[in-house]
Amino acid sequence: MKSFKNIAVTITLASVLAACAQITLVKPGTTTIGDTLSVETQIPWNKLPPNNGMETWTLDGTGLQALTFNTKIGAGENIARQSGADSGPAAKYKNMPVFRKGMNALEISELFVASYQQLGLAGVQVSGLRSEAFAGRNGFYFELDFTDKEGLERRSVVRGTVQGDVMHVITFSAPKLHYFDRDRQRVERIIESARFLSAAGA
Amino acid sequence: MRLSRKFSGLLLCCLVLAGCKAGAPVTDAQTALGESPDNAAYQPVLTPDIAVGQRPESSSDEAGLWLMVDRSEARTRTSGELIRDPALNAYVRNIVCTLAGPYCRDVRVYIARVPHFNATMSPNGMMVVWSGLLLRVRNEAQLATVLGHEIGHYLRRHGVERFRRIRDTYGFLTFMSMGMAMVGIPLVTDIAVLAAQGGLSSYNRSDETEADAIGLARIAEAGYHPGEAALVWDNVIKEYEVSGEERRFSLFLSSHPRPEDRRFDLTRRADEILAKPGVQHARHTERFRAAIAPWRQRLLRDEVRRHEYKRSLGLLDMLLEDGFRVGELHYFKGEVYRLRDDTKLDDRAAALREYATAMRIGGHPPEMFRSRGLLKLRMKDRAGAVASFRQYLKNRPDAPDRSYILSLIKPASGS
Repeated sequence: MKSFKNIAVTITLASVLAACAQITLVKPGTTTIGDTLSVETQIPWNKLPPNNGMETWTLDGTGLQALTFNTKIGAGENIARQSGADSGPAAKYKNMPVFRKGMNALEISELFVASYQQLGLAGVQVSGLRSEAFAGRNGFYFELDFTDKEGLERRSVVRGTVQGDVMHVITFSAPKLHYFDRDRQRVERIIESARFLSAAGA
Repeated sequence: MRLSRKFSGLLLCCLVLAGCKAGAPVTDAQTALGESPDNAAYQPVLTPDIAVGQRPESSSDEAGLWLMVDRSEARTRTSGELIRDPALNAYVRNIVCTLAGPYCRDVRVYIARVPHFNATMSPNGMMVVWSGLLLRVRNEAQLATVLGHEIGHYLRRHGVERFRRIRDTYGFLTFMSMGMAMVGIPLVTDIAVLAAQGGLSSYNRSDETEADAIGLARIAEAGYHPGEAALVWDNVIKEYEVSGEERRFSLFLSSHPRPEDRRFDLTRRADEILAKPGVQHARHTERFRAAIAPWRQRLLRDEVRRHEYKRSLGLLDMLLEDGFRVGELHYFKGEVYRLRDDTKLDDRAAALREYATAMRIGGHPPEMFRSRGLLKLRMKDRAGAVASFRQYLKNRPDAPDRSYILSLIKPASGS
């Protein structure tokens, strides 16, 4: 009974705090992602508050398209940038695979598939795995197809690079129906425009 | 929002999930007492508490519960986690119908691709079988044991009783406003919700014992070996013992009564049945294996992706003892070692050993050579890596990652 009340209080507080969070506008032009990347966009985007090193942009809502900049994932960190726990909401991060130094694109795609599965997505499939430059560095590209909990077929494009001990990734995820194809090209232009800020690119 | 969704899920799961194995933590006091159902005066009732085709009267509280669960079922029906393979569904469905008899049409079965051991029954007859269960039972009699147990919950309307208990504890309006208004109905396969809900969803001891007894009676009537029922629990207990997981955080072993008690009780009841003349002893191992075969590698892959290394290794060792398609089991053991990659435990050598065994026995997927290549690459054995990658492409000419594998081969072979 006591733990039930604790959960209720925690959730209520979290909900109230979440409601205070500000969604800001990303104006067309060049913008920076933390202290790591710069990117260019030709149209305005909605930006959710950065969370644990992740920054997410959307046009119509994250359920319809989510462009996530996940930079500086260190060795030992998972892609959700969350610490696991034995119980409660963080339990789902407890066994989430972590980035390890020296991982190649194939191993990173495995990491994503297992992470997606652990977040409750079934039947995640990788396609299009290849080496591809990212922000002027050696990088990787792959796509993930999966069906979400509501039965909606979705696709993610994952592009990134491993620089020393850290991984930088940009993920674009949208329903295959309409939104993925509609937004793909403009998202790819943004990803192609990515450059390391001089301080971060060392 | 995510958190509040979980919270509403937590609440509503308490309503809709009957038969879920999750439950209240086992307290030290209970453990110390070694309570077992047979030392209580309690006697399970095996006769159904619901008529064939019965739906609750529209003016009853039960009708409101059914309405909510019907909505939950509508979401389950479209869930991306459902395994829609007609053959597998027909197989499970046939067992359910054999066990449920005239209630066959009242129970609807959904198979969800969730790699944990669980099955649930809702008060309206929605049964959800998690794919992790299919990987963990060894034969049809064991699968029927769990399905029969869930049918037992439906026939005795345990979900309705639990709904009333929770409602009376927390208050109906509070419950409804919190459970329904926030975000709607959760999916019954939401592992995080189940993990968070703890004791709220647990049945009491008599409900579980009753469902066990009904399940056992029904599998025996259907000609299955009643001794297999206790083995289901035996396997689950062994798996958790090797995993080192604390019971109170376990979806399955935190149930009440304790699994050991349930195993004991089922063994005792099975012995009573077996003492009677004319009892059949069907296990239908081959039929079960044939039904699972098209899904086995996917189920094993899902298991490995849980990254619960000790548990998966323990489970794979138990499956190796069972002896079905051992080549692929060695491959997946190798995968667990490769993914864990603990140098102190010499996981790389262990993975290579398992791959070698798999290759000697056969029956492994072509991806084994890709995994071996990755491992050799990590071990700076470029020649070995290239040979493995080439073998992979030879065995899997249509590999979706062919161009990337070639890019891994090229610098190695060109040097």
